[in-house]
Amino acid sequence: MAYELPRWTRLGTPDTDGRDSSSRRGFLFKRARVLRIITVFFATIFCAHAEAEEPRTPESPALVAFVAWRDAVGLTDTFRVVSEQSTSTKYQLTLDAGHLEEVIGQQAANEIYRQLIIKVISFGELSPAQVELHVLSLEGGFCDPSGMDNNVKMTDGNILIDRKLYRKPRGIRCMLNFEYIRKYTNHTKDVVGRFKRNTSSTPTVDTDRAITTERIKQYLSERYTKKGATVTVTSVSANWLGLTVRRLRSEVIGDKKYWERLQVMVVLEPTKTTLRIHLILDGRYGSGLAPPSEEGYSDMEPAYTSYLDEYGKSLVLALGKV
Amino acid sequence: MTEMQLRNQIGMLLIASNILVVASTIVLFLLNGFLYNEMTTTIALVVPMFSVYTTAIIKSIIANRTKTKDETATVSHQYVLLSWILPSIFTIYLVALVFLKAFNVGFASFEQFKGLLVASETLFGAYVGLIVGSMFDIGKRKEQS
Repeated sequence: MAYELPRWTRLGTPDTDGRDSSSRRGFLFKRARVLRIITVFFATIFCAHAEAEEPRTPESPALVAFVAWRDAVGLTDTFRVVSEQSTSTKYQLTLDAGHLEEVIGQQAANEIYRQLIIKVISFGELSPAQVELHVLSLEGGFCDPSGMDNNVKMTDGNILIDRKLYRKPRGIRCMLNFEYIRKYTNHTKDVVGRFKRNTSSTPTVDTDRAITTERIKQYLSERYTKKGATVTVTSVSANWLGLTVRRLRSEVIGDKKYWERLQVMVVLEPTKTTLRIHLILDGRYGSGLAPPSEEGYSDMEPAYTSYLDEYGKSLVLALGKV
Repeated sequence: MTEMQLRNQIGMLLIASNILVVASTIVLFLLNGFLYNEMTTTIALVVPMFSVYTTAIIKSIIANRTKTKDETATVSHQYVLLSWILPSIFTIYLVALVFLKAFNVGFASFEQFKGLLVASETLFGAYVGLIVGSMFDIGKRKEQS
């Protein structure tokens, strides 16, 4: 566990008037005992998030890759895996964010959820319509919060977050350990700050050209095939293109001769006057005198985030001129 | 062949093997066969495997620095053969593992390579340790008597 458990102090009211009454002492003792039982019960509820262990069920390669990335960017304590459900047409991942929204605010949390779904899509090599991410969060203070289910989906290139209440407040009163809350808050803020610095952005470009996903597919296939890489188109529609590039060398991390595996996702969003191109890029790298296997790659984030960011920006500019 | 001659040969072989494996790893790293952290982990795993033997060998060489006359007994052909074969196979095996990983043959990830490297120590350690131990322990006993 990341934090020390709350230390529950003496709960009985001190006898301030100095009377030595045995009946009063008995009453206070009973009251303190009842309060202690109640407090320990609710303390257990409060700490449930911090103590909850991730399920030890067989995990899909997508989840293994996601968890490795989550740990590498420092979100281990912030997002715990609750469950994973996978069918031939749908992939659903449920995460527990605890009091994240309480600490960093709804909007900042939503930004992180957006990055998470992009990663899940990328690691699963799935079409965005197949992926559903549920982030469970607590809202309404640290004492008796309500449980919210943030259903994150990507449709037509837009990431939508649908919030639903899944657990009402229980109407209980509890004692809070403010030292614990202060530590949790500071730790979460630090982690989120580091996460923002260590992950790449999603670059966009506006163009007045009539660009289609088919043209972008041709351009990217040519670009990477010329460099000796293999390109696999994983999903394509009128405004969405997803492809995986393997056996690429020194493309993103130019100063090292690493093997690279890129997951390129392009979203076309028509605006009133122009066409906006969003690029979602995920990169992995591996060593070897010959290309490594799928498991032999490591995520470029956080070690090479700046390279990935720079490459993404230059690639989206190139896509705008296709 | 006398025991002293064999001891010197095997001692040199193991020291050279240690250098060979470490040097191969560094050279392959320079050729991008390994990432930096993979290279350091490999060396950190390989060096202790040999250091158990090389420490005993170097100690023996230092202790016998004034002994120029070979008064040790003659050893059997089987002992000579076994003394050469086991450390040689161990070295070839380690060098082969390092090269296979560098060429990404047979290993899906670095974790698999690391696992096999550790298992090799258990596999060969006992046999090589027995041979090297017998040689250098005998030497020590003679020095004491």
